Amino acid sequence: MRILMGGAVVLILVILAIGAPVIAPYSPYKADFNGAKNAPSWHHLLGQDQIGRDLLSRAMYGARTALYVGSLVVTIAVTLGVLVGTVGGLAGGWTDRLIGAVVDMTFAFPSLVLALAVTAALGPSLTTLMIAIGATSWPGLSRVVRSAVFKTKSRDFVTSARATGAGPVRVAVRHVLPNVVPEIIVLASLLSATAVLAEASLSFLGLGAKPPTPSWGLGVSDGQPFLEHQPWIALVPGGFVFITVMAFNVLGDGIRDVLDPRLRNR
Amino acid sequence: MRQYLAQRFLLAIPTIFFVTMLVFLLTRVMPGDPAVFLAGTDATRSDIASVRKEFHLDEPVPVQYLRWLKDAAHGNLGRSVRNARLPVTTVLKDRILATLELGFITLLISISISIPLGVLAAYKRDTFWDHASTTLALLALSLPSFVLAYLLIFIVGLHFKLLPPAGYVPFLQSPGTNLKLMILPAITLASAALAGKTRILRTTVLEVLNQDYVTVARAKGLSMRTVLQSHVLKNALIPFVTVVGVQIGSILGGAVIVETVFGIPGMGKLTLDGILSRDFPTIQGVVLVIVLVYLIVNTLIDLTYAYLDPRIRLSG
Repeated sequence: MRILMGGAVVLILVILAIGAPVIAPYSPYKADFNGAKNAPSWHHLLGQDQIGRDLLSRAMYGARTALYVGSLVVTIAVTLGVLVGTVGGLAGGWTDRLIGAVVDMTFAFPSLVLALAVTAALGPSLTTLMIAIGATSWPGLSRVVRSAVFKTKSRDFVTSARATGAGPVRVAVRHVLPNVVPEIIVLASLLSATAVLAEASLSFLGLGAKPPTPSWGLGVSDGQPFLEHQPWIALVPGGFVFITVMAFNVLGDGIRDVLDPRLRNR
Repeated sequence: MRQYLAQRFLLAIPTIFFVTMLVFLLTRVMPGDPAVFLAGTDATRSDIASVRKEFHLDEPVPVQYLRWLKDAAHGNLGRSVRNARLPVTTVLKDRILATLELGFITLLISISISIPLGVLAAYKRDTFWDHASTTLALLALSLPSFVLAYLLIFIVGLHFKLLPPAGYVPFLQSPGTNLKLMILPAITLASAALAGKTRILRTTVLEVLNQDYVTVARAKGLSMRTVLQSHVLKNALIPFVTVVGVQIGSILGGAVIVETVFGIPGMGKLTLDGILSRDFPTIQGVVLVIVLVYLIVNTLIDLTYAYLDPRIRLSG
């Protein structure tokens, strides 16, 4: 049930993002000063922003920015997390302990502050943002992968694979990792939620997407001065962040419940 | 105990080195010459040179880092590039109280809401109450803090005028006004921290409820209320406390947004301003303080384990 609800919303967002050039009723960049700050109407379903751009169209293109950043962040974090976690889990010993120490330290640090520092160093841009968020969100994943690898590697089928002469890389890729895939999928979904939120937050602070790029976080900060009389300018992009983050969270929880029936009845 | 604290202290040292070195490197690889940037737009070549000398930017980065470490050990974090070139320690001292107060109230709010929510969800499992509390936690987790902040400012502050919408007054100057101004920012920060705690508490309370000693306590004739309070909750608190510790970092990070929106002159706002204006001595100082706070809080949390469960001895 939860998978269906979360999945459906995510799917709709993906369709909106990919199909934005076809579906969006207006250009996300075209200003219309006569219609500035207009309330939602039949012509502009979600209203118009401070320079008369169509908020629905901007929100659809904003979905592109958010999901683009989200998917790249997840790719970076999953690659790093799986790599580091597998190496630590398989190698054991001091390699594992060293990796564990680095993971702990990365955990110890507020990821938003680290992302801010990386952004400051490389200059604010969407690419920097993705590197920054991706580079700070892998430790959780690597911990989970490591413990799963640790559990799996002493199972009989792994031992027998080893006995037949499979090298460590082959053992990891063919025998150990497939058993960890479900947990990675769950974490990737939850991480998508975090990444979308991080993109919105940093863009909101002026450290991510640059105007006039359509970005939800940027939209909220643009609408802030008009909060009292034209609240839709800030609330439309804000609402999209909320719905997206919630959908990914619900989807992740739903997948987890299905994969782990033990938790379903608890 | 003493041995444990000593070990903790030893482990803290590499963490501090690692993080400060990372930030030092990051602030030094910023594109462009920082001295040119710091000297301002209409600076002459000799102005730039004197700025470079003043902030020791003419030395190799490792030398700069060692110099910074040596000074930091003596309680000198250098001078801020902005803020009228005040010493970083002075700037920090002004800002740190606001953030600590904000963080403390945030923890207080999120803990006192998540405990009843989590216990209720577990005790009334699969009923309306369970679903309601799980949904509430999910909503709170998914609502971006800057959106929640604006909603609170708009609804509570501007529309119903129940609380002042934004601003800051030091606690010592006017405790009442200070607390009134802190409520909305603290609620905003607490919201994101609610879900993790509620969820972990629900899971562990469910586990504990299945234990034999709970059945025994019930069979003795103790009321469910007494059992929940003195048997269940105490045993379910350890994972909860762990989550609180992990969340300290995200609360400190979240303070960047909340302090910016609500206009609180705290560490978060200082971090953002420092980064936007390339005030690297300040960035380094803030980062050092954040790491220290994080380490201290987590040591305290480990000490709480021993209190909650006497079987846990804090040794190597």
